[in-house]
Amino acid sequence: MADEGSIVYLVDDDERIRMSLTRLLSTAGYVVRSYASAEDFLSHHDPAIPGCAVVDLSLPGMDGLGIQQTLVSSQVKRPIIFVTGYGDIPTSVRAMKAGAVDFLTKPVEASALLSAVVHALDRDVETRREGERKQTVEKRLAILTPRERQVLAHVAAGRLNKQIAGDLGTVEKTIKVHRARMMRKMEVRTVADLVRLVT
Amino acid sequence: MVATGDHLWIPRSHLYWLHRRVFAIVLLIVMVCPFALSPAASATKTSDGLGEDRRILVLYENDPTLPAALEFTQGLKTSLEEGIPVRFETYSEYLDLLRFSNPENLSRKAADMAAKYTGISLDVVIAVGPGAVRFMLRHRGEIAPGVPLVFGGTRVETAKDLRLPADAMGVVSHFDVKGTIDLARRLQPGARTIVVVTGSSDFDRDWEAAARRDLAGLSGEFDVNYLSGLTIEGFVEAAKRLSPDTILLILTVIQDAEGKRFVPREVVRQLASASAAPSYGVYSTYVGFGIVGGHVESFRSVGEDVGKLAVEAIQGNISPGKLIVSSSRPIVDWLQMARWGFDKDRLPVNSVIQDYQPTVWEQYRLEILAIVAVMVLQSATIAALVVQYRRRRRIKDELALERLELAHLSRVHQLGELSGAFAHELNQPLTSILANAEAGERLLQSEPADIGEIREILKDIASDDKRAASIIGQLRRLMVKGDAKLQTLDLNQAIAATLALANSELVARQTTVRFDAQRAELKVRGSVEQLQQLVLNLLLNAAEAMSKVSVAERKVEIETRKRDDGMCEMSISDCGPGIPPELKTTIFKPFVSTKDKGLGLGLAICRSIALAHGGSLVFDHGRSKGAKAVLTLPSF
Repeated sequence: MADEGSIVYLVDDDERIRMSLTRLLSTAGYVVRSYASAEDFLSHHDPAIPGCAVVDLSLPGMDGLGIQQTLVSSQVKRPIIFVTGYGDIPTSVRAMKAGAVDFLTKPVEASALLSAVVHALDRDVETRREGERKQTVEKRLAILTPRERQVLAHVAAGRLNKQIAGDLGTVEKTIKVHRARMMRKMEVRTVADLVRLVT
Repeated sequence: MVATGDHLWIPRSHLYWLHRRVFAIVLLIVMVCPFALSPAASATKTSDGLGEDRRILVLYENDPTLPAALEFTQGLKTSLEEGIPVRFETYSEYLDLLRFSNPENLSRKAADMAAKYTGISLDVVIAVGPGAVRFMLRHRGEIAPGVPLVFGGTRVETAKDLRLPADAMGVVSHFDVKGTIDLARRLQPGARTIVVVTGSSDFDRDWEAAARRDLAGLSGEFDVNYLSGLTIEGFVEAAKRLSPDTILLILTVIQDAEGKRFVPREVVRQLASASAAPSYGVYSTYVGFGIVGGHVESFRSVGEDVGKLAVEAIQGNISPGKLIVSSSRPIVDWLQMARWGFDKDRLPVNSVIQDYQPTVWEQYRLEILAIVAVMVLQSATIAALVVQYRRRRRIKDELALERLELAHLSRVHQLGELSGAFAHELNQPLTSILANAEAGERLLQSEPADIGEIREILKDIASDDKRAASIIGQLRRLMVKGDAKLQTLDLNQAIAATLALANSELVARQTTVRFDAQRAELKVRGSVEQLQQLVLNLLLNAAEAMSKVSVAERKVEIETRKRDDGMCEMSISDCGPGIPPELKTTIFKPFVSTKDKGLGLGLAICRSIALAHGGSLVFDHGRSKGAKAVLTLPSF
């Protein structure tokens, strides 16, 4: 079962497919929002809402790949599952390279679709987590002083305090103070944690 | 009389009438009658100085109004006019012997005539018929003493019995058995049997003897049977059993074996009609009563011969006791000729055909020739036109067939190119069905199952299934080859169906179509497949033309309307580069294409489809941007 609050966005120009897939996904416990065109979907899209998109590759006007490109160029990492009536390899490769979760051929089996959705939602969660971590690191980095940032870079590079003091033209004691403040601001205890956080 | 070819033609009515009135079969046509010699009956003929006027007394034995008498008179008059160079007058008397034959009447008549012609200088007396001859022989001394006597209408045998004086000459009738058989042989060349019928009276027996004499020479060639001594019924029965290639010669039956007396001509009527073989007779009176004919004398020829003798007598050229035999000729009954299927051409050249009904050909030969000529010309013209039409039609059919073939091939080719799109189109309902089915399965597993939802699901599955079937059906119809079936259809509907079919392809090409159908139906008559093919072709051309323009601009617009002139019009416009100017005149020609891979047959076929539907397909070259194809079709 899906995480609470996860939404499956469904984009297909065929009303009956929207209906049947909505029904299938609903029985699997997902909240589905369906759109008849790429434009419709994009104009309603809120990247903040967790979830994935099931997109028909061929759509009138902007097609499925168009949606993907638009999202990528907007830095929106919405996991996309492509569904197509006749998928050709170049198209699927393009789609997968651009980050598609899966490329399914119609008629889509429920198990394949649902596992793709699960996978996509997991990835969304992961992405979001990763995003949150990056945000956290950035926030913490933002409060470091220039000297502390310099010290962080050296610590993360695995240098000793004495070496850092020599490089920065100061004494080991001063480095220790900067290092302690930096570690506190970065909310880490060990160098290993720090390294994991910033890389 | 009318001459037709070599034969004389006698209107039937005359002779028939005559026959009914002449009772004395045996012939001697007894004529009587005032003799209107004319043109001016008793008009005087201007003397040319060769002497005084001639006066002729003609005594007829019988009724003056008989046609036979008139014919005799005509013949007589012809000879007299030819032979007498001076004015002449004729006086006519008749005895009416059939009705007034007692001696007192005759004596009174003689006395009367004697008184009447006293003082008139007669040049010749003509007696017509044996009774008239006898009367004149007895009373000539009183009426016309010393005037030469000429007679006619008397049998040879009778004449011989008359003890004729030296100054009497006559025409005697001969009944030509041999000549009649000769006629019969000409008409029936295959005949080998002759049957001669005679009755039981002395007269009849004399006839049999005469016939045996005349026909003795034929016994080698023919099987000649003499049928006599029978009752009338016996004769009829015998006649019925004759083989058709027999010659039946009916002489006279005045009395049969039982002593019953007959008018021979009536016997002829019975026998001839019952006979299985053609019958002949020697009496002209028999003609018209069922015999084919005979070699007989005609009344006219008797008159002519009598006239010639009269001229001789007037000229004083008297040959005592001279008897000339009347000239006889073949006379046949046209109806009987036809009855036995005898060919007119077999008749001797001097034959007379009674009651001859000239064939339409003979009567209207020129007209028929003219009509036939016109008809032949007309027919030839018509035939030529028909041939031409057929040829054109055949070419047309072949062209139509080829067009059909080509249309089909091109359609299949087109559909083949669209197969991916169709697969997609078909996958849509399949996708929907599968998703619905699996959703339903899941719903059934949950507790409690949402039956209402499951029912909806099943309904949707059914409806999607139908949708798939309809796509397959459409494709099949377009793929299958066959005669284009004409039907009344709604053009808008056909366009809508085509759009549905092409939807996937258009989507894949990121081309949007705007279809502003006039709401009302646009009824046209045609082949749905071909019209759909046409629309599909134009549609895909439009989409193809826009493959290099930006997605936002890839728009096709289809409009339909009924024009004021009653035609239906459909236009398909695109926003592509339009038709290159150099192709404007040739764009509809085969193998002309703006596409790199195109065969260039699509538009040619589209136009021929439009033409075959009585419509047209053109490009509107007046546009500044893109191409606009305009199809017009007659409304139905």
